[in-house]
Amino acid sequence: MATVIQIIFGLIAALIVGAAVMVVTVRNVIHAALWLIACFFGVGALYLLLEAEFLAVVQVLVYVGAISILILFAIMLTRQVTGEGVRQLVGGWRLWLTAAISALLFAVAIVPTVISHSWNVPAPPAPPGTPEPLAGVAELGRAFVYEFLLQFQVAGVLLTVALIGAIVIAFEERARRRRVLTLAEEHELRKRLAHPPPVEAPAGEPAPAPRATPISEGEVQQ
Amino acid sequence: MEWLIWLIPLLPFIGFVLNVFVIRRERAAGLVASGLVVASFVVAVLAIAALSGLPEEERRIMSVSWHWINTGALQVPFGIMLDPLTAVMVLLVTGVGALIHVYSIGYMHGDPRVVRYFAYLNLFITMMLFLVMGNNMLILFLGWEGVGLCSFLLIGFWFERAEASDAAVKAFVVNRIGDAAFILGMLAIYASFGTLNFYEVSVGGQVQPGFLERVPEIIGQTIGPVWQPIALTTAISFLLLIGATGKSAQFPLFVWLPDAMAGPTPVSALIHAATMVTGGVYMMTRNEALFAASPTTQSWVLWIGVLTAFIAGTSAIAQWDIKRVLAYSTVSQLGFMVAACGMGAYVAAIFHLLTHGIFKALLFLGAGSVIHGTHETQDMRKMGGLRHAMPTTYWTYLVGAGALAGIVPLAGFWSKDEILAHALSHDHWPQLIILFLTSLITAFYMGRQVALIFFGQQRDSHYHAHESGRVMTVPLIALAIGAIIGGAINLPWGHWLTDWLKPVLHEEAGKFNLALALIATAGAVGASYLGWWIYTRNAAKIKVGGKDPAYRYSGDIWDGLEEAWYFDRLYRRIIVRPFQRLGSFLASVFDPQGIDGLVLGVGVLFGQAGEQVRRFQSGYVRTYALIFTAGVVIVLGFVLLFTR
Amino acid sequence: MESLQIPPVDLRLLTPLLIVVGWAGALLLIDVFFVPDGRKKITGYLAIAGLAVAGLAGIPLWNLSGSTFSGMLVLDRYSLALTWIFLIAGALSIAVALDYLPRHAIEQGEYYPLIMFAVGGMILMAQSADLITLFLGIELLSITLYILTGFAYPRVASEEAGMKYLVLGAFAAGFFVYGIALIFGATGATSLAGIAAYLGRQPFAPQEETLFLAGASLVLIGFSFKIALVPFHMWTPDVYEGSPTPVAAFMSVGTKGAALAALLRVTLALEEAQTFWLPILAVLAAATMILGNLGALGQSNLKRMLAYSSIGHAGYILLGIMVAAERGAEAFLFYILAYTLTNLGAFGVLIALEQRGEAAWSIDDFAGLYQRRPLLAVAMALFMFSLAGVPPTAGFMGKFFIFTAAYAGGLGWLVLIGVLTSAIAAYYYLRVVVKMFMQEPVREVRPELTRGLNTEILIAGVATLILGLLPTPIVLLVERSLVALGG
Repeated sequence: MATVIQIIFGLIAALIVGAAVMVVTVRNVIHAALWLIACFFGVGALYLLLEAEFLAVVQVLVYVGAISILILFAIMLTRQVTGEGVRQLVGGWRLWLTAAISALLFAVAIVPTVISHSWNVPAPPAPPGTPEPLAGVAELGRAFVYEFLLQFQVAGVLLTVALIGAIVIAFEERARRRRVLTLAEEHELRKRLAHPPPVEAPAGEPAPAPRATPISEGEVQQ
Repeated sequence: MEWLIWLIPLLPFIGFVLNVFVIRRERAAGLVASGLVVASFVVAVLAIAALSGLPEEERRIMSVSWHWINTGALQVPFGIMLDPLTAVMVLLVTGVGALIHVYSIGYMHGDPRVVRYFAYLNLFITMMLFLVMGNNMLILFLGWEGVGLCSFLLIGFWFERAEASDAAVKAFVVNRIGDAAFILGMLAIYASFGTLNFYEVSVGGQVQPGFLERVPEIIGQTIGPVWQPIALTTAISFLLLIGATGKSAQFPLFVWLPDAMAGPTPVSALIHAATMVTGGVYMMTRNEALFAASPTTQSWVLWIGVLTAFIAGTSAIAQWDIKRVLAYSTVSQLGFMVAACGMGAYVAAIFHLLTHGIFKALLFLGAGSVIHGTHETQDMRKMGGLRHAMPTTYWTYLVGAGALAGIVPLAGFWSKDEILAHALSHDHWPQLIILFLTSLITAFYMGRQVALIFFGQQRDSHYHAHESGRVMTVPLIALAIGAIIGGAINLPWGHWLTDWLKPVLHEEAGKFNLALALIATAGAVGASYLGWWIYTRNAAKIKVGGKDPAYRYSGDIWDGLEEAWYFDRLYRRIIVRPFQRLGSFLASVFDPQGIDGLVLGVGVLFGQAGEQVRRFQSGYVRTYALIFTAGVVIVLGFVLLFTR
Repeated sequence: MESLQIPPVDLRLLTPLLIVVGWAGALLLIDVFFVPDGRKKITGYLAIAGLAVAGLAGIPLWNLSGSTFSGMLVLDRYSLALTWIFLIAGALSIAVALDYLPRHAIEQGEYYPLIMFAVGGMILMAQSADLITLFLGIELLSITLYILTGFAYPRVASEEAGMKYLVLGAFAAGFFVYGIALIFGATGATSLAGIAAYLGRQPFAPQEETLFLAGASLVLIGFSFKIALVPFHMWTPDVYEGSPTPVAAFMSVGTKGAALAALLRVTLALEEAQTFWLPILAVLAAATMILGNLGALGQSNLKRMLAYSSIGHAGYILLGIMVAAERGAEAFLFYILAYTLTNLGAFGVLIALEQRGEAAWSIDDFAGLYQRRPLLAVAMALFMFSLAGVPPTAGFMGKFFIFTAAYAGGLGWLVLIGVLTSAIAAYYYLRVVVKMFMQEPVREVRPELTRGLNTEILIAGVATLILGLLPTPIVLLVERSLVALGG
């Protein structure tokens, strides 16, 4: 039995890792998003394997059902970057080399740890009075209003704040958005003000944006 | 009645507050500032009179106002004290300080920021008094940093001159190096004794011990790695020594003092000759018990003093700027004092400190009078023949120069002779020879300076020289009298100062060596005559911007002396420039030039950043994440490899 | 159906937290329904009032200590003292923003409740005795800060900074959670008491506990990101520069202070793991002191300079944490207080010089400030000297306490680095003073001093002096606050 489970685990793990690699390597963003969904499914399956049915369901509902859809929407709304021609990552051997080295180093650090730990030692007997280990929805629910009541509440506050933030950042009236300058442009401007080129608008005027980033008409309302 | 000694530092502080917040007019500022310092001087005299009425072993007035720090383990009272050593320093600071305040009224007349000037000057006096009166290291350090701050503000006072603010920053930063060592020394004292008080003090009924009385307890203790243990006393005293080299402009940190001459001349007289720069000597004298416990440090102190005296003395020969000659001379004389400390002749050091404070202040004020009378001329090549135009300045300057050169019976002769005699009687032969040479050099460059300024013909006729006003000459005369009779406080036959300081320093009077005194006097007279003779004979050959007559004989060596043995250049090359390069390197690597475009996220959001830009921009968040990951790997690797 | 047992909860222990968070929530609604546009200052005043009430409500708790929510949240004097520091920081950050926001045309009432939520997160961090609670506190604080960083939406730079902070912050949070998971795997507990009990049960032998070590390292990395320790500091200058200045001020003292406070509690609780914490913290502290101060040397933009300086200061504070068991904790608390007030003051002056529509924090704008605004220049000089550690300012006292504690605790070489780097630091702080006092103005900058700003600078300045001259009452308070920690 144990072997079967290990084989299944291996398959699922391979699915997750493979999908994750695809997410960051494919050129097309929509494809990447779809691979991400596959990855989420794999994690859900992993939860099932761990007999955490509730988590598995939540994983599918939240990640596959909500988050992935959100990502797809975001991609569709920002069409400019969906084209196949856009390279999401600057390639080149240097990048891959650095990535490989850092991954390798991380693995060197973490793998022996995981291997050398004696996993099969049974947990020390819990002192009397501690609640039963969690398994099902009922226990989970009870834990939320008993042991983890505080965390549950704080998470609620946290989500509220995030919601407000989303509104504050994204929901402002379009007319109020005045395009000023990016940090990069500010720096360049300051550099130019410090060493004015011979023919240029006089310093102190409202700053013309540097050449590097063209600004579309709708956004410049100074 | 102990609280009355608080008036001494508080009166100048009141002047500072008034000048900052209330006074707006020049006349009021000068009067209030000077008046309060004079009042402080009077209070100091009264307090010292009271002090001398006490029996010898009880001569220490302490007054604690509040617990500055009071935690279980660390207790520092905000307290000041008056004991014989402090008393002489207080007299010097307030006495010379008062004269220089008065002088400043004339010298700074018409300056647009004169109120600020007097505010800084008052603050300086306050801080200097805290430095010498503090009854623990922390108060001393408060004064130490405070005078550094005032010195910084006053050097940069005429910031219209380009070099002034650079010199101010240089002074502060070089001093910070010394201060860093001082802080470490203070921490070491605290760690070894559990207290920072110099002497036992009772605060609110509880008695706190003093570390100077407990030095014998730590003799024999060592710190440092097993293979190279260092005696604890050596470690502490050496750190303090580095602190002193910063404040007292000793080798290798003396480079800031000549540049500090960019400040107004009265400031140079007060801060950079008479008082602040002697803070290091005072501090070493105060901690004499610690230094005495470490022969290693003592020999370092001695050699640093001797080397500084020689290097700075030779550099003073080749200067053209009237104030730079005096600046190098100050460094050189401070070297004498430090050397005296190194020989264990602390009374001689303090004696020289006092007489030097008087006659060097006189010389600086005289130089200020010359500068004032020649319309801001500082280059001695443009002077000459001024003795007719400014007789008072001439005669007083001559007294000061004679005192510095060590001519009998002026003040400088007695104090310098005491140092040399101590070196002789304790068989410090090599040091004695160098110091003796240096004193000849001193006499030579003073002869040179007097000849260049006051003799011959005026070489630059663009100005009309005139004598300074009464408010400036009266302090000159007062100081000149001091420079003539100042030696009387510790004549070989009376040694009043030695007796006065006995409760603190426990030193016996040194032996007077007639032969040495005769040789030294003959040498001083001869060398100053030689200097005077060379430069009056060749007066006609000296041109503005031209070379020195002695250049023909010495050649490139002269250039080296003019630049003070190239120390400035050396530091620029091996310290300043590498640091600048390191800074810009770090900025380019770790601070990618102010994020010339980090906007990956926003670029994608708005979808309009050009391909080119985005490729560039997308680098940075990624770079940060990469460095982060590298950090993770380092931390994990470190922990997993080294902590098990 | 069995009835659910509501656990015994002692709500008194979290009065300040409840007040802050509850008031913030209520304020959100009040702001939307009752405060008209253009008069959002009212919300700000209400927020300050809320923070003040929370502070007052904390006073009766001084003699109370205990834990609640199954030991996940503790209240002791240490956390209470920190709570007050955070409340002060929050209130001052709101005070400087009152006029800043309308001047930059980014006034929205949500700013003030968001700051309050962030303060709530900080208090939670100071009170939590459980890694999960701690994590939630960090996230509450962080998410709020992501939003606040991007609050100055007309400046795209602000959004950039927010985005960047978010991406890197999420990255770091991942490490933190992973670390918690590994620790849980090793010890079977997430509460500090539980972990400590595990470590105490078997004499802690690090070589046997690679899993715990790896987890603890990752948790430490999560902390390091929030504290901005080298090499996890890269985000700091960019985010400070991009975000609205009051937020940068809040961030420079708030996030740092809260994360350091939590780190102190964790290291103290897990004393058995000292052999693990000490060496790695020493390396991080050394790197942070050196690189933070060197980085500041090259900056001509004052906001970036302050960012680097705040990195350097984190290194000094870390020294206090390392010797927390012996007098380090009180030095730590004092330093945090001194640094908070001084830095907020310095940022306040920066805000006074900042004008709408431009982002000039160039050091040149300070040239000749003394001629135009003598008191402002004197205040700035005071803050600079305090940051540089010149007596008699709060900064000097803080450094003095930290260094004495560290020296007595046997960290001589770190003290050496600390003293030397603060000598270097004097150079760049001094440049500002030189500009203000010893140069003529380069261009016209009209400082705008409003009531909120004046108050803030005044409070910070006076406190900086008082903490330097009369530190004893504060030190005594701090000392008493540490009784419960056993420090």
